[in-house]
Amino acid sequence: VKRRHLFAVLLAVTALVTASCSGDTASAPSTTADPLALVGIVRDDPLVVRDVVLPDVTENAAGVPFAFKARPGELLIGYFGYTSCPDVCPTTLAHLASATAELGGEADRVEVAMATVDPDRDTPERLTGYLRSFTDRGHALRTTDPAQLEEAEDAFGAQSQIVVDDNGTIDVQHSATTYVIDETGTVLVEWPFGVSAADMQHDLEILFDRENGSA
Amino acid sequence: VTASTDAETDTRPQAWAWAVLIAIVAISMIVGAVLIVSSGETEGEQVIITVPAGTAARVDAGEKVELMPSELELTTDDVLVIHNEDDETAVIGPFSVRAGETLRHTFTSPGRYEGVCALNPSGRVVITVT
Repeated sequence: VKRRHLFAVLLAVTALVTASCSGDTASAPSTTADPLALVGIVRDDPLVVRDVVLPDVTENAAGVPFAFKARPGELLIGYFGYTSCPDVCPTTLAHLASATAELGGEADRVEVAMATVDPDRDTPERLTGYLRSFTDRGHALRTTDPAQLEEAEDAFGAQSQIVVDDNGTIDVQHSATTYVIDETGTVLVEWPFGVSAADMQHDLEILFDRENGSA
Repeated sequence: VTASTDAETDTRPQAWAWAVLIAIVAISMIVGAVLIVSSGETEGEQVIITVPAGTAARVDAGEKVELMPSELELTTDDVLVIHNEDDETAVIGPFSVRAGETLRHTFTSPGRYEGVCALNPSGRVVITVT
């Protein structure tokens, strides 16, 4: 009787374990990533950009100093681009606008700071109008000092270069990463160009959940 | 009859003790497996790129270095690890890696990432994640 009981128990448990393991394998999704992981780039040693200051020409064409850090309890999105950009900048900003709009009440806790890499053509009025076509919570940043722009770009690991050929055609080359910054001026996540609006929304929701202490 | 009854009384508790013990072990195995999957510890392949010291100087001197292909094809959950052992920031497509920094990124979504890259003669890199 003792052996029969023990054998039955072993058989049942073995079947249970086998079924569970084979079930996991058969039903596993193609992507097994942690749903609470951020899609964008997260560094072990994050960028800290609170000391980066550029003139904010949104309200005053002369510019008032703007530091790259979010208001308390908010997130700041930093981006280096230019208004004549035919594809990358409008796509990125449109994705960002879409992602932010989907946040509901949290949308009012997101600001965007766009620094132009093409200050000659991006006048304060043009840059401000361009940014406002994507968000009403934006800071248009513009410096005519190349060294100040380069210093700001270096802090983010961003690059830009403007080349004018013999025909006067202006070619602007620039990195197109978007940076999510907290109130301490720490870059929490970086989105390379190509990250979708849905993934941006995903990351922002996770960051706000963390801020709210619910994740 | 009495002897038989005593035998039953002695053996039943031992069988159930074994059953409980084995069940606990089995449930622990199942829960552990589920936790490993749900915590995202399952990773894809790891692609490691190392930028040796002196690379930026070689590029600045006009040398065409070839430390990585111009196209990388990855799948979701693959991990790109970039070790920058140089003394200048290395730019590999969308990744800007500071001097001495190791950047590790897991691709959780399909996508196409393109940008400058001085680590191959074309000067650019395209990373496709499917």
